[in-house]
Amino acid sequence: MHPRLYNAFRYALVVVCGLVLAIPLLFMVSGSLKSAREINAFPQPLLPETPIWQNFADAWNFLTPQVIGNTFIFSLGVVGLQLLISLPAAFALAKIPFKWTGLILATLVVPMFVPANLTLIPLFVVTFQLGWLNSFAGLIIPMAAQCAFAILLFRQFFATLPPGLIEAARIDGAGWPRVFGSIALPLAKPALATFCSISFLTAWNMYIWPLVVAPNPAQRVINVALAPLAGGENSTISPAVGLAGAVIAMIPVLIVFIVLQKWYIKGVVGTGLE
Amino acid sequence: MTAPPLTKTPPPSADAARPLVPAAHPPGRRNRRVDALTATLFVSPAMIGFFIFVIVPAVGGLVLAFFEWDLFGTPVFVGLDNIVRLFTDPDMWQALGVTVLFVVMGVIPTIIIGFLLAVVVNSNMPGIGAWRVLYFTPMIASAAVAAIIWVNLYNGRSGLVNQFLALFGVDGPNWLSDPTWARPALVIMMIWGALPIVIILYLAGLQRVPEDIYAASSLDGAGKWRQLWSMTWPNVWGTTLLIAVLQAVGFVSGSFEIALIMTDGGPLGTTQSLALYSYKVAFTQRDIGYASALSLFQLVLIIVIVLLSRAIVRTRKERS
Amino acid sequence: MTSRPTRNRRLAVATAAFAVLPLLAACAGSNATGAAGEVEGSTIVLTTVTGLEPQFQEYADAYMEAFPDRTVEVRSTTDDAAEYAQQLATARLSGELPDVFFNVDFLADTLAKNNVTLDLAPGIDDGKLGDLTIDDFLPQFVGQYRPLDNPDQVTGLPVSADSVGLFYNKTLFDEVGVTEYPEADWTWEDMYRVAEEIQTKSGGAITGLAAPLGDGTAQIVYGPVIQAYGGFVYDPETGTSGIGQPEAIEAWTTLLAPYGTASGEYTTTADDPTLKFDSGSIAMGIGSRGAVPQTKTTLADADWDVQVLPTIDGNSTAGGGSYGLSIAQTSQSQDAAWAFLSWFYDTDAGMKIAQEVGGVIPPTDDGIDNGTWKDVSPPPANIAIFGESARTAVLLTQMPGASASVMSEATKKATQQVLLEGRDIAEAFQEAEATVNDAIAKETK
Repeated sequence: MHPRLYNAFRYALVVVCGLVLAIPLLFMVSGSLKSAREINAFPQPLLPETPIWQNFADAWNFLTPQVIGNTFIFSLGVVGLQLLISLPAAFALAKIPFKWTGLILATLVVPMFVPANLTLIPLFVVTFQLGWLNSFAGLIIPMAAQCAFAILLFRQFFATLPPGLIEAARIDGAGWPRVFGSIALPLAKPALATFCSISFLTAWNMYIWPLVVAPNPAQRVINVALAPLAGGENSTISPAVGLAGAVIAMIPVLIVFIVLQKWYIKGVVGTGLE
Repeated sequence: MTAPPLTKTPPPSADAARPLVPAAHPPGRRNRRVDALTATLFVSPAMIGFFIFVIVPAVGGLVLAFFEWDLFGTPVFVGLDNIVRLFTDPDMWQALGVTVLFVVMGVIPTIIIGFLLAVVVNSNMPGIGAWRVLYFTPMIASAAVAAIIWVNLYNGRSGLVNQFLALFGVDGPNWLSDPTWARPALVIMMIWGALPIVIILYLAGLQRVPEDIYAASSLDGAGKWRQLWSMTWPNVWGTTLLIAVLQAVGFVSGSFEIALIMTDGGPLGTTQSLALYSYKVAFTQRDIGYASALSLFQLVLIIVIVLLSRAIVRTRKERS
Repeated sequence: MTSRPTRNRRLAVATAAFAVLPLLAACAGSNATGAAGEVEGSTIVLTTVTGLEPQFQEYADAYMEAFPDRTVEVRSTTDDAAEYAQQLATARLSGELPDVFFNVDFLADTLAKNNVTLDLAPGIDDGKLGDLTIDDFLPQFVGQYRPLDNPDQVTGLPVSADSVGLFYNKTLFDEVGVTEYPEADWTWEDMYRVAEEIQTKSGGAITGLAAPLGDGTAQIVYGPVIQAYGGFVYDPETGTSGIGQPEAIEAWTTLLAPYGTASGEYTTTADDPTLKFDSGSIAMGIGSRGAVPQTKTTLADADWDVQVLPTIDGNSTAGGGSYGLSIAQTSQSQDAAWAFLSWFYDTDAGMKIAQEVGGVIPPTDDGIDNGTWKDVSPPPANIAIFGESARTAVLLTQMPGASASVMSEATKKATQQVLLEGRDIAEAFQEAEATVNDAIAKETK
């Protein structure tokens, strides 16, 4: 196949697959602009007759700068703390000979299969005993400690670093901290970008943990603040306003993805064509 | 060093293909104590947090399997009552079957589709970045919002899915209320929701595939397809294993929220996984003890399966 | 369970070997005591479900305007029953229960049994609600908050006397040329007949009647229907459920009939458009008075009204129910909580605003007769029917512990077996009855 034709074909493929994946989301954006009649109608129209921007204003009323600030503190806190504890651990588990590595990895993986809703109350009790209710510490630290995914991801990345690279540095007399800090970390950009976007998103979308651990308005995060929009049988708020709220909540996450995705692709194309 | 099979390092081809420095001998025994000490220091902060906020609550949650507790009263020790009940509970066996089917129907397609899409978007063509963002959208909406939207899409009469099928003269079922189709419909939705993370992880993996392994290959379509599976795929094997673990977790327990909203486990229990059943037992029937027993059972099963598969892999290796 | 406290405590202590449970047991077992506290200068926390938060915020604002030195902080939790129970449980473990909180039939008994909710009866007798006495409230609505073991107590007060009526969309009737609007003397046969006529004439584009049984869990509908046939859902005397008895089977037969003919096909999705009168393509639907405000907004372009539910063998089939407000036993500001409730239930104060803002029907005789709730601009023109049906409504029966949730699951399963698998109605619901009775036996052992 001619390279230019191939490129055009591939570009089309990217666009078509992307649109198919995004249909439900586009549906959500369109829904956020519908009137109460349209959003409840059956069959539901694909697009609103006239976009109701008021939905966004109504949803925005449930947010305050403090709520948005809280959500950033919470999400960035979780991401930052996870990076801080997971990166060294992952490096050690991947590259430093250590007889407990196998056991630690097993310990990390097994609890993943214990449903989170079951551990919620015990986790709450631990946090309560630490005296961390209604504080950012109580919000952030227990969530940051759920670091199995981070460690496994980074370990997988570090494990694929060429062994020769590290051994050479070791033979040159570099200690492990230096190998970690000046060789392994700088190479970890794609993994870091990957992790940061996933972890930020997860924290940003959390609902039940902030709800139980910090019921005070002082630590209220975005999903808790927007919850009254989700409706329910006694609600007089249009479901479209709920969708508008969801769209607003999504914007920061979208920005994070747009900014970080540059690092997913480091400028080399896997198939070696371009 | 013994690592579980699911997280082992990729085959040597990736590294061997592009040695950055000449291979050196591993550091001698002199370093062993330094290694152990450094490793301990590096690992400790994470493991202390993990112990307090993951292990302790997990054990605490599972220990409740030996108690009777309604969330508000005092837990009462009931010994093995809840465990015994497991084996005589037909709903449990059905839920177990559903869980197995979710994993079987979900994990492998997610991995393969995710890999192919990652390869497709792993490109620097101008303007492609904006399109790439579309691939991350399924994970941006919370599960609750996504579920509500998919309920609309699957609606028997007005849903987009059936409108699309009607173009080809196919009269689609009322997906979520049909005992045959509800499960596949949910699995498709779950795969959709799982794809972004798979694509992202594969993208990161693909960045580490050395280009020169492709140098000698032909560039025509058929050749590229073969090259994809014979060269690219083995080189991201480590990532694939990581994804397999994550997706197994996801299809076993993570997606119960979706089934809860979309079908409430129905129709006739065909979409009620163990995780969803356990959730309903815990919080609508407020029988925390039995819910813990269900989770404990699920965990034991998974550990047994992993150990068994390891044993099988080991005996096969020994034979060959 | 609670009858053996000493043994429980010893057993809880015996688990000290385990990392978390002692903490848990200690917390769950501890009974912090509440206090009267001051009224002036007080701050109380009121927690409600998310859907109601906006209107409760308005009540609180009005209260704080009337009493500038008192603060009511409104917090919302979640509309999800399971999450709500979790949130209350965690708040209780940490001693942070709100002073006043949302209570609902299926939780009321468990909360009362575990000393979460305060018995309001003595306080009301002491005049903490001013002139209002328990007898002023509609007895069946208060009955939802009387603990099964201790019916002299009242652990919550209903907020609105909500009952169900038959909503109908005149615009859709007219569209297909059906002029027979629902009448007060309709029977269920009439309702099904007209619904089928509309659905057929529209070629299926209009759903004649939103399936009364919904996904199989609509107790507010099936409860009264079973009773109209002479059966019962739950008999507190014998502590058994009768959903598999011959009278109930007749009721189920009626309720399962319309799927696919007068109603849409069966659907597992609770908010499927064929079940939502709001969707604008349903000619009739059984709905609660609480749905009126939302329907007004959504069906702004349509002409719709309400009618009392049709009868069966001359018996009313209107169900009802209400959420309520409770005071926490551990509240340190119980007098301030009482002061708020006293203001809230005053027909000239809180209830006046609640009628305007939330459209509630005061759950008192005086409120039903003289309240402003009837003065809303139509539609629905016939809103007054809700006053009468509130008095006669058959309310959801209070059942021990979580057995009501077990019943929801069981009736849904039986419904699906009949409609999707073609199972015999009697067989399916006799099995459901057995499941429910097992659960009740477990709760009361």
